[in-house]
Amino acid sequence: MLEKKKNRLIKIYFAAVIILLIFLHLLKVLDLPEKYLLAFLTDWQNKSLSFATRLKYSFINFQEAQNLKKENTQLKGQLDQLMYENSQLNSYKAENEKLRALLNYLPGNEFDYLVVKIIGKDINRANTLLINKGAADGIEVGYPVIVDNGVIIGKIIEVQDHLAEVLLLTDKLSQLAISTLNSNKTTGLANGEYGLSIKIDLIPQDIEIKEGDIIITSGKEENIPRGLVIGKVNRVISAANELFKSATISPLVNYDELLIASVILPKKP
Amino acid sequence: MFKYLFFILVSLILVFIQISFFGALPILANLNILLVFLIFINIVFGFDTSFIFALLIGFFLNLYSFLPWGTFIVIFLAIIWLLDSLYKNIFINFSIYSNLILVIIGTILYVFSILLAYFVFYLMGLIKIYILIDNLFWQNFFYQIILNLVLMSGLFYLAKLTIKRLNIVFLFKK
Repeated sequence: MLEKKKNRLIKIYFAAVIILLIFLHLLKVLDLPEKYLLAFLTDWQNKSLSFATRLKYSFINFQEAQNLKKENTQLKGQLDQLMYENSQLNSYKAENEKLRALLNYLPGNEFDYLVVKIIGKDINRANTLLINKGAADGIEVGYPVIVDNGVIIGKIIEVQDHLAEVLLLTDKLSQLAISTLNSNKTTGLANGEYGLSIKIDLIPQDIEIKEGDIIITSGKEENIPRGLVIGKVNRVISAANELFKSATISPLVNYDELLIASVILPKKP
Repeated sequence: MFKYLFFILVSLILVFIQISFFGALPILANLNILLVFLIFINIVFGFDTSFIFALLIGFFLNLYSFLPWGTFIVIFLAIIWLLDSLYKNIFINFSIYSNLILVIIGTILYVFSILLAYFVFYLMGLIKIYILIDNLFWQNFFYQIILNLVLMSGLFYLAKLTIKRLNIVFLFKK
């Protein structure tokens, strides 16, 4: 009986403390302790994420090694195939240089970068990343997030004082106005597809777009500069009697491997 | 006192692992260790202990969420309260199978309460984006149920091996 009463008191005590903490959070009294707690955990979270990623790839590499063993015997007699791949690598190299040149040209003087660490993923939403900077660092909803080589990976969708959430481009709810390197106008609207690839809809029939084209941001959206690289076209779907055509894009980076990114902020006067 | 500090530390570590470890792993990102842990604690150590853990885990999870403060606490408390009632009134034979059914019910309750919370708060303008119910959602939902069941089975097996007093609880058919 006494034990039951004690347990009840403990429950009431804990509930009261938590309710008090929620009120203090809402009143921003807990701002500083929360900031320090998140800052303390950030490095550990980033390391944990890095460890999990390495773990995943060591498993994948092991599987791949098994497959490669089998493939190796077949490939011995296929040197011409390797030569073809070599020529492809050369074209990727040229493309890479082109992208790097593009990056140097990109946001210019209108934008600033804020380097952020990726600390985890939203427990309830696929295709998201949590980053260790928030409203206190100048981040706002809608700001683009890029990785080091100028490739856009998503947009900020939620912001707290010291935390923000990025919706990856591969999410179905993600939308981005896009263009091609050769076109000055908006070519279409990019949406995610099942967390795997990106689809462009509403491409006018008169716009020329083909496999291998590099897709960039159009610069028509607020806070998103033109020229951030989204990916490469791998398929164009077009029917003569349709008003618009569509295309699928492969992202140029693997979103599962990201540990550091940058948020593009408008330059404050 | 140390017992409750231990509770706080365990809750923080679990939230940490859920957000920053399992989140990076394909498929395993769908595993909800927090929910399975709460159900496990409720079955093995009773409602009082799981109540405290639900408060703490809900609180820490809110640090990494954009839902209004207290949402996770309410959801976790409601789930363990309901599961506790089911456990004491319907699934009273304490077999591993009835406990796995509780995990399935718990997972369904969790996913749909989160979905409801997102929609309601989105309509109220408190969050900027909702959860889309598409093929990916159903696929992840399926994975979550399977993974939660696997984790719960593993926890039961470990608990049965290590905690002697639980042998009256786990009536494995031999």
